Amino acid sequence: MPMVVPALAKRAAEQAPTSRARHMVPRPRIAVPAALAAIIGIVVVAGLCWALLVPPWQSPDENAQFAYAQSIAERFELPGDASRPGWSADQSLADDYVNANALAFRSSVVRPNWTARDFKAYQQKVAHSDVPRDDGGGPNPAASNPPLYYVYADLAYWATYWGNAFDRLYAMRIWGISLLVLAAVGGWLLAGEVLGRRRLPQLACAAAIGLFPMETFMATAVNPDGLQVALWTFAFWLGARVILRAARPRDVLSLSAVTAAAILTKGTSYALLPAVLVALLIGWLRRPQGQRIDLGLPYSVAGLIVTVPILAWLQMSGAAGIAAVNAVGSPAAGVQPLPFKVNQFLAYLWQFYLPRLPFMGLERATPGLSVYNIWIRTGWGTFGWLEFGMPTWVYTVLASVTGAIAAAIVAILATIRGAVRWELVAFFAVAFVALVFGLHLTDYRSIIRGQGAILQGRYLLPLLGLFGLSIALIVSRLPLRWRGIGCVALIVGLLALQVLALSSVAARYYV
Amino acid sequence: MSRRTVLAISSLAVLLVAALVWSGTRDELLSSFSIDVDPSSAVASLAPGQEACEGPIQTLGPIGYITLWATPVAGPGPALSVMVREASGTHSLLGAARLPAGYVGPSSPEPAVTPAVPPGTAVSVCLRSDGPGRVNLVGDIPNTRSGVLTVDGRREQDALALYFLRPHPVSLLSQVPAIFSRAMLFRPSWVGPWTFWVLALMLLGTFGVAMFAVAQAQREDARSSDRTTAQ
Repeated sequence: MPMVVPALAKRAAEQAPTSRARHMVPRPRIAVPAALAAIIGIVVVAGLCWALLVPPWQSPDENAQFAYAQSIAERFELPGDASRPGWSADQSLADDYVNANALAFRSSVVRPNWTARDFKAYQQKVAHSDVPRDDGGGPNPAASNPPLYYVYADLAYWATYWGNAFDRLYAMRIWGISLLVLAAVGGWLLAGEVLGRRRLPQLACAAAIGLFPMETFMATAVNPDGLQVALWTFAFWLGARVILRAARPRDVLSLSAVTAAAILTKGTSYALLPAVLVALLIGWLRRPQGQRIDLGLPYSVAGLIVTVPILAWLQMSGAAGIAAVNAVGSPAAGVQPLPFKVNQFLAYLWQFYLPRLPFMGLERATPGLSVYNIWIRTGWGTFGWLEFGMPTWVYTVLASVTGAIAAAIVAILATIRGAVRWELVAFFAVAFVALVFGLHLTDYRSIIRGQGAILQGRYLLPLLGLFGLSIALIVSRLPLRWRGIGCVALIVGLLALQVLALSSVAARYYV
Repeated sequence: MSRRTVLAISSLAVLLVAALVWSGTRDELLSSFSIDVDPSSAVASLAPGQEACEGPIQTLGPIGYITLWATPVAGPGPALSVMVREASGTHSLLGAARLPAGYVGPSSPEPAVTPAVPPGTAVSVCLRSDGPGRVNLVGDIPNTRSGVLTVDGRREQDALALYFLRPHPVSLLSQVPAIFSRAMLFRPSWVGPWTFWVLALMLLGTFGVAMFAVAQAQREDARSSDRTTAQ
C-alpha cells in the first residue's frame, strides 16, 4: 500500500501551469466535508471548556503575554521600556483581586479567589474609576517574542475594549480557539495532500492535532504557541504541495508567507527555514528542466517575503533595545560558564533519552529520564504553570502509546518505495531534526552557563502536524474494515483524555 | 460501517464515558479551601507560651485538618496547640488540634482538628507554642480571605499561610455545582454556572459527534472508492 495516493506521480505534470484548457475548467466549489465540520465542532467545544475553565493568568507566562498584548493594544509600542512598570495598573488590579500572582506555581496550596463579594467589589471599582491601561509596557520576559501573535490576539482585545480586564483576557482566550481550529484544518489538508483525499486518515490527523491536550490548553491561553502550531502545520501542508506539485508559484509564495509569519510569531520558528529550503529545492528539481527558469521570479519574491519582515523585526527590536530571539542569557551571577564541548553535548543528549552510563558525567541534573519527564509528560499535557497534570497512570499509558506510534512509523517508513515519498520524508525529517536539535543545543548551552535546564514539552508542539500525519498514516495502513474502528478509538480516546485533563484542572483550582 | 460494528463501537464509547463518570465518583479529594496566602517567608516568630491568631476566616468548606508552615529557629520545633474559635461573639472553641514537638527544618504538618469544624462560619485560627524552643511561622502579604494576624494581641502586617482539608475525602462529581459556581467568578459578565453546565453537556455530546464524523468520513471514502472502481 503506498504512502501517497497512486495518482501522485502524475500530479506534478498534470498541475504544471502549461495547459490552456486548464483555465477553462470551472473552479471546484469549496464545500466543507461533513466529517471536517464535525471535528471542528468538537474542537470548538473542547477549546471553549479550556478557555473558560482555566483561572486568569494560569498558563505559562500568561501574565507577561497579556502585558505584551496590552502594550501594543494601548500604546502601539513593544514592551521593554526600563522606565515603565511591566504591568499596567489595569492588569495589576485584576491580578491582585483574583490572586493570580500568588497562585502561579502554588496551586497545591493556594486557590484563585472564590469570593463573589470580591468579584463584585472589583466590578464596582473598575466601573467607577478610570484605572489606567496604558501605563505598562516595561520590562517583560516575553519581550523577545516578535509581535505577530500579539497583534492577532489584540483583535479580541479591541473588540471587547469596553470591558474590564477579565472581559478582555477571556475574549483573547476564546479568540485563540480560532488558532486551534486552524491547526486542525491544517492537519486535515496536510493528510489530504500527502495521503490523498481519504477522509478517515484526514479526520484522524485533524483530531490528533485539535484534541491534543497540551495544544488545547496552550492555544486557548494568551500565548503565541497556538499561532505557531497553526502556522507550522500549514507550512508542512504547503511544503508538501511545493514538493508534490513541482513548485507552483502560488504554493511557493504561500509557503514563504507562512514561514515568515511563523518566524514573526516565535523565534524558534527559524528552525523551519532549513526544511522550507529543502522543499523549495526539491520542488525546483521536480520541475521539467525547461520550466525551471520560470521559477526565478517566484523564488525571488518568496525570498523577499521571508527576509523583509524578519529584517524589519530585527531592526525594530534592535531600536527598542530588546533581544530579537529568546536566546540563552548571560551566565548566572557568580557562575563561571563552562566551554562548549562536543563530547559533553553528546553525553547530554544520551542522558536525555537513555540512562546515564557509568563513565559519563552528570550533564542533566533533572531527576528521572528526561525524555519521559519532559517530552512525554509536559508534552502531552501539564497545566497551570506546568506544576500539575493528569493522574500518573495516564502518562504511563501515553508513553506506551507514543512508543507504539513511533515504532509503527519506523516500520511503515522502512517499507516505502519511490523517490517522491523519500523527498517528502526528507522535508519533514529536516523540520523535525532542526527543531529538536535546536532545542537541545539551547538547553545544553543554558546548563553550561549555570542557568539550569529550560526545556518544556510544549516546545515540541510545532511538530504536532507531523504527529497528526503519523497517526493518519497508521490509520491509512489499517485493514479497510478496521479503519473506522481505529479512527473512533482515536477520537474517543482523545476526548477521554480531554475530560481527564479538564477534571484535573477543575479539581486543582476549584475544590 | 456495518450495524454490528456501529453497535460495538457505540458500546465501547458508552463504556468509556461510564468509566470516566465512575472515576469522578470516587472519594479522593481532601482539599476544602485555602486563604490563598503564599507560604513564602517567615511572618511571625513564637516563643514558648506565645500565641498567634488569624481571623476572621470564612469557612468555605469543613475543616478536618489544617496545613500550616513552620520552621524551628534552632533544633527540633516546639509543640503547637491549634485552636479554631468563633471569630465573633463568645469566641467559643469549635475544634482543636495538637502538633507534637520534634519536627525538624521547614515543615508543613497537617494536624487533625477535632471535632471537625462545619462550613459557613467565621473563625479565628490560633497557634500557641507549648515549647521548648522558638518557631517561625510562614506566610506572606494578607488578602481579603486571610483576616488579620495578631501575635499575643499585637497586630502584624503579614498573614499566616493556612490551607484547610476536609475530615473525609469527597468525589469530584459531588463538587461539580461548587466548582461551576466558583469558576464563574472573575470571568466575563455573561458567564455563569449555567455556562459550565452547558459546556459539560456539550463535551459529553462530542462523543456522539465523533461517531457521526467517522461514519461520514467512512461513507465518503467508500463513495470515492466506488467512483474509482467504476472508472
